[in-house]
Amino acid sequence: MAALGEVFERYGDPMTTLAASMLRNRTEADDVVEDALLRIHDAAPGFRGERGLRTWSLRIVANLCRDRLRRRKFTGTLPDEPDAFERAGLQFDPIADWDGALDQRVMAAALERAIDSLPPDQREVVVLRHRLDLSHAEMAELLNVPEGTIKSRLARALTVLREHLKGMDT
Amino acid sequence: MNGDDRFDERITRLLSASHASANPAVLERARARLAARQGATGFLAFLGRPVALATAAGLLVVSAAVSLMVLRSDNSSTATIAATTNTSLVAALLDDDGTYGLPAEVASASDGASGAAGTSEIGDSNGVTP
Repeated sequence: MAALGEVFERYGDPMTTLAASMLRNRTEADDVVEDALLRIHDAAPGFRGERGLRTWSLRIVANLCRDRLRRRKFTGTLPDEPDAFERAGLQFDPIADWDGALDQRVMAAALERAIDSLPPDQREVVVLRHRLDLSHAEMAELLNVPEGTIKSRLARALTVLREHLKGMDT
Repeated sequence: MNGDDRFDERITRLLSASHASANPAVLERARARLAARQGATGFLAFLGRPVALATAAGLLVVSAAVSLMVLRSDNSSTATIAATTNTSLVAALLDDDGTYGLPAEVASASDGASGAAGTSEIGDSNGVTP
């Protein structure tokens, strides 16, 4: 059980960030991370380390999130709330060298709403690539799809995000 | 760097500026669930111990013996009731009072009917009809 604490210490933040970004609900995200920890504990004896522990942990979280989103289709979606950050349980760290002409907080909130509108497979790749800084190869391994699929999903997702934020560009 | 690239870079930077911190309570809850599960596993291990198995086997023998006794006593009482019922029925049917175990009024009515149908000898022999 001590090993579980170490996993949580090292990967708790990325696991929570992925779950919160995918589910857009902090309570559900915490539940998913909790379930993921139990699965990691159960599967740890069979873990041979061929994949990195980080990728493996995130893969478990991604699978649990997909299950939840699939179930949500039948139970109804979450109500819209004005603060996309608050609902998702995300924190925004102000960017130091930011163009002063644009309100970064406002733009970041608009970006979160745009992420809300993405289909789960596109939302997943955006979060893994740009929020958790995974490489295309790591993402392909984590999601069990070819790298080409990852690149095309990312390109489609960025097109949608660009469209949503077009009016804010200077 | 053109305008689109600059815009994409902004998006990327904004995306990486947002994150969530892990909630320590999540680890505590996971540990509690694991501990609860291990408690349940401990009880299963206890059930597998030889003493527990011997106790279970003993209880099985005792319950089988008790069941057998109950079944036997139940069978004998059923047989007694059946025998008593048969005896009284036969006695009633063979009782030579002309009623064949039926109430007197019903018996006389049936005799009257049979007399009308031309079987008066039977009725006479029983002394029911004049």
